[in-house]
Amino acid sequence: MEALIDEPDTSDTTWEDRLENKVLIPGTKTGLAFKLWIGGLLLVLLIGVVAYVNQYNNGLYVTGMRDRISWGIYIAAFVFFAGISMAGTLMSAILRITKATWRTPVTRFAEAITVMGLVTAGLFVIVDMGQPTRLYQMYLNGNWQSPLMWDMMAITVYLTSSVVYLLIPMIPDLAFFRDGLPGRVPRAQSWMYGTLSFGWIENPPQRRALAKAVAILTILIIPVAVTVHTVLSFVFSTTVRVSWNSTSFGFFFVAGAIFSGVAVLIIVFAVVRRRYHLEEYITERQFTYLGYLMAAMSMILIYTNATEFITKGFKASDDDLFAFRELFATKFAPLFWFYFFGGLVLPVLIVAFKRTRTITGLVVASSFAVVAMFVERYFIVVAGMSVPLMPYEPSTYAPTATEWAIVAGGFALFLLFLTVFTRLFPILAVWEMKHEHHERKEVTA
Amino acid sequence: MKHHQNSEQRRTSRTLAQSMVLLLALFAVVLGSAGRVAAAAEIEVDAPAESTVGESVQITATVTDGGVPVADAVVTVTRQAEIGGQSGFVELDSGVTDEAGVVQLEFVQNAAPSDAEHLQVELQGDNGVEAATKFDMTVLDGPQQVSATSGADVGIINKYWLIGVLALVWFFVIAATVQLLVISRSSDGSTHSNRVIPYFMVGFVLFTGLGMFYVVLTQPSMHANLAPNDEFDRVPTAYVGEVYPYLGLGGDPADRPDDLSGEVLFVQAGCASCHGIDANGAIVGGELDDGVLDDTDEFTEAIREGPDGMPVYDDVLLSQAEIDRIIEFLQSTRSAANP
Repeated sequence: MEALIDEPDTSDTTWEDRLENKVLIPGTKTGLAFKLWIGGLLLVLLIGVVAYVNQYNNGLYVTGMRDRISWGIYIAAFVFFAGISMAGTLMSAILRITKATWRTPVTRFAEAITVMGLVTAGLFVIVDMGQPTRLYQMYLNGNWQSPLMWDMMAITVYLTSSVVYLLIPMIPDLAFFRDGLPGRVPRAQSWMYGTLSFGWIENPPQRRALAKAVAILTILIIPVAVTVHTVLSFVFSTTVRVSWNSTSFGFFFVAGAIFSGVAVLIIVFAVVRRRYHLEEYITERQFTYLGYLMAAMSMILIYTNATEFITKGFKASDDDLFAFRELFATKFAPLFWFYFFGGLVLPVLIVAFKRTRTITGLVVASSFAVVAMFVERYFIVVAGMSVPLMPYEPSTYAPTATEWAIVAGGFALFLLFLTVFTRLFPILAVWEMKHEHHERKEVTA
Repeated sequence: MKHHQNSEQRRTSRTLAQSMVLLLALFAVVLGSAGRVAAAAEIEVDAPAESTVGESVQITATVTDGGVPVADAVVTVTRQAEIGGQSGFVELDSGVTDEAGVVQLEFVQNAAPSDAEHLQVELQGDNGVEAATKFDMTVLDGPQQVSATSGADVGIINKYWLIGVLALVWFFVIAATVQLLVISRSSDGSTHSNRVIPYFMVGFVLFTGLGMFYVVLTQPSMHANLAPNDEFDRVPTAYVGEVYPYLGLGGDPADRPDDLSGEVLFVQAGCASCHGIDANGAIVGGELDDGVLDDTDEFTEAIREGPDGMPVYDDVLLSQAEIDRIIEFLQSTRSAANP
């Protein structure tokens, strides 16, 4: 448990200078690897766009979805990305409320992932629509008895508040960019920093306004995030499908969302830390704490799975048994057991042993967790749909090439958002880190 | 001599075999008629003269054979269903007679295509229906067959709570966003920052928040599945699955019976779900009137390409011959409607 004890303060006179320089680097430096990475992502995105144009012109007939299994990998991707967006809230809001000091290097990315995950998730809803140009009908002629309407409302609030929540604590850092990068970046970029820093000169009224906004949003965003993920689960549990007849789906979805969100955070941090040499700020401490959190969430998820399956299996209706047989023994068994052992048990084991509780080990555990959570979303959607409601032959579903291409495009878009963000915006909450650094120095003095 | 004797013997055995076969056939006939005698039962039906859509109908049937009650007989009540010129009896309920030969049958009255329902109580034997009694029933209008009986109507739980929660949440979101304006206006102007864009941002958040209220306030507060109201009345539709097994879209045309009439195809391919069961048009799909049907090539092309968001029907979903039959059906109903 040494990791829970604060590290010795390694501050010296140049701590702040080094931090500022580090944070300014991504804004100015681009290498060949960076360009290749961006090019690769754009290529995958382009293939996805071409596949989508094909789907738009020919209808959802080009997908594997039919009348009996009418939700597929798009809805799985939607739930997955919405789940990832939970990371921001948890990391940032809960830790900010409790004034957990180790969080400061972590918050900015967490908040950014929230916004990007939500935008990507929203796009998958549109992709899943046969006729996306009718989306406006949702607003003009929707029916608020539909859980899809609740979902739309919850996500609108969540997206709006998380964009503001990302932007407001970033203002002092954007002001620092505005002052620190003159002439080193294109004019449009300078203009953006100038505009988005809202004339921040750190005078008392501005500080008060900032503190007020952060306080409001920090508290607000936690319940809003919980509603988003439970309402998302309502879309399933209010639909008449055997596997979705569950009152604990909300809890199940929130736990899964936090789990996958933390796992994505660990991976993103490891990559960014290495690429921009932020070893001094994102230390093993942050990874260990996030790892503990991931292991705890993983055990909660194992337990939620047990509650789901025990309550249904105890009564064991014919339909439930059909669903169980498909999930545990036949059609979806490889996916389910990979999810259970690879995605839930393995990360706990990796975190449990000191030898494997390294950054590399945690990245491996997180990668398994992320893949497994996508797989879980997939079988919740498809296995749920495949239990017949009427005495017809059980149907099958497999994503077509078009669907794979669009899903790959979605992942590329998410990574592209993330990359552009690290390139253009302050990736560390410099202002909060300095603040915390000062407080710690005062305490030690 | 020996030869003669042989042929004599042969003739005798042939006669024997022939009489054996005859005997067997006779035996079979007697046995069969015995069975028929046993099943020459009568079913006496006690049913109401009229029923109401959405309400349950109770029928008492008594099975007797020469005045003697028949126990343990399987009895079903069926209704005559018809679509696209195809007709048949569809089971509604079944039961087994008691010692007195009496069985109670019950079903919920569905919306009937006409005012009268043609029903039949059948005695089921090993070889299918062994006796049947037909009777008619007048069907009175009532709420659609699926009326929501679940759910609770608690007066104080209504949409104003939702509006209240939305208002609270959006108040906080807007209050936080307004701080952007405060920050911007508290600046001393020493930095190059745009003074208009913060207003834009606050305006956008305000617009989104107020938009949510617009969405809630303008939406109908009646669920389309509940009792009919003026806007969301449902029309009785045909019951495809009752006459034909539901095949779904996208199946192999080879699996479909190739004698499906244009009317059945119109329902089964999903045309009716947008254009209405009589192709008179509905909220989503327009009326398929003579003007549309005039140019059959153009009409076929529209089915193949799916204009204005209509699903695309390629030759797997509908063959050319099937489209022709749909057109034929539509033209016949059109000319009947507008002579």
